[in-house]
Amino acid sequence: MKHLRSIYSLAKLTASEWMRLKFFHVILALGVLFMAFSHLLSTLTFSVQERLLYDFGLGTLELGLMMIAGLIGSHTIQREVDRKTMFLLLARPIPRSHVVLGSWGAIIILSVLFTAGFITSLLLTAPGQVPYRGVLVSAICSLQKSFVITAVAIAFGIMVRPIMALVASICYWILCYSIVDVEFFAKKLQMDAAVDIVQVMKKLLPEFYTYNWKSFYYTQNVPQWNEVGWVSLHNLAWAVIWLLIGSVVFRRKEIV
Amino acid sequence: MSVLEVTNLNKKFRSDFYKKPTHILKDVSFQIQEGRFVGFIGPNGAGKSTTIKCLLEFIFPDTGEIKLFGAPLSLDQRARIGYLPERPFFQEFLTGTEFLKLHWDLGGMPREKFAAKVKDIFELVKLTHAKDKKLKAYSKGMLQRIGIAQALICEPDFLILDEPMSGLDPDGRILVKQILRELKKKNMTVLMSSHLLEDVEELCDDLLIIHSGRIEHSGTVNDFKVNYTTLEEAYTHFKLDWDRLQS
Repeated sequence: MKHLRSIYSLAKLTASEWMRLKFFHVILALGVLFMAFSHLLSTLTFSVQERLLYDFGLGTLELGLMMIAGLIGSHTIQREVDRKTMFLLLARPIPRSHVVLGSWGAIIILSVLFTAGFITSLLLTAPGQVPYRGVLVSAICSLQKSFVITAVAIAFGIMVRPIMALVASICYWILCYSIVDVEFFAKKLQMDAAVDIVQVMKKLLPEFYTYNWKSFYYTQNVPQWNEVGWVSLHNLAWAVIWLLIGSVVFRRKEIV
Repeated sequence: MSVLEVTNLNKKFRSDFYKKPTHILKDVSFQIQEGRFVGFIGPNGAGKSTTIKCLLEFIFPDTGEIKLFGAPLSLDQRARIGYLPERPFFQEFLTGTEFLKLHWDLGGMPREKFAAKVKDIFELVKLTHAKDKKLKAYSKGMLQRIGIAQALICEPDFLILDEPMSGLDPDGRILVKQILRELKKKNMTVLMSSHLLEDVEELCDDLLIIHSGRIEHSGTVNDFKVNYTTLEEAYTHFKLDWDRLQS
């Protein structure tokens, strides 16, 4: 209970701080802009209006979530260190892993708020029969991916400077989708070493490509609950792994 | 009873991976007894802040041992320390009360006792009138006092103050000194790093002098200035002797 209380306090502090920053407002504004654009784009066609709206809208949601995860995740801990507010927090009798979990929790709060706002406005403005369940499953799936990338960005943010961490976490996210394409090209090259490297890389990446559900097709052909359950466990496991890595590194990091 | 025991602390820093490490702390050893107000002085870069950071586990010594209340450093031991960093930075969007609540929660203190405690603390640091103001509206002196309040809020047994009076105007210094006098009256164990020798002379019982990473004096203030009228005079002579020895 005591542990949860300190994690909750840190998460609340970090979330309310980021919510006040222009940085978060810019992401929100971009989200609104993209959604308006997806509506505009969908009016260009008569036959596949909904397809365009959901494909573009759900894609934008994931992009916005990754911006929150990557940008805020990579900066959150280093920002406290640079501003020296970290000294006061670490002087308290809390394990450093709580700071990592608190930061992660804060970004989760921001991501959930962003997703709720985005999906509500998408559904409210969508024309015709709205596929609630499909959109919800897709949104949950994107949200869970952002949980993983948030943990990755926080871990990288502890190891290297924030800008490097941002680049690394975005590359990681892209690789999670495109590793199968890389594997295809490695096989085409007929180089055993390249294939072996790709196989190792596959082990180090969550399989985002197997549940890329952010499209109109999946709003109509909704994945089964057992698939959603597997995806949830898979993402949770990866988030835990990266949070552990971040916590272990942060535990020995010197705050000068 | 010994509150803090530091034995043969060594710390080297490397500014870049290709550069030779600089030896910042060299076999630093000292003890702080219960109820003593200890001044920690030395020139800039002597190792005062580095020693304090080792005590709070912000950085980790290469070798050496730190014992707090007779036991090695741990979270339980750290719960008994209150800390005010040099030039503290705060989450300025919080009000005074919210800020203290955050530290109360992080300290794992019982929720129901917060209201009574925060009232006492605000009275002690004379900030009752500003308890609901955001920290960004606080003056530097007020921020320093709220910093002391956060150090005291979880009822620590040992207080570490890193330059508590640096950068304050005369009014701010008077107020902070009043608070420190109150703490001294209550027999609190305090380690105060400072450059202001007259404050150290007035407030402290014991004195630690660190120079180039070595503890050069550990004893009472009166012992140190026994042949001189003021601490400043004694320190000036000590420094001249030290420079002469080095050259």
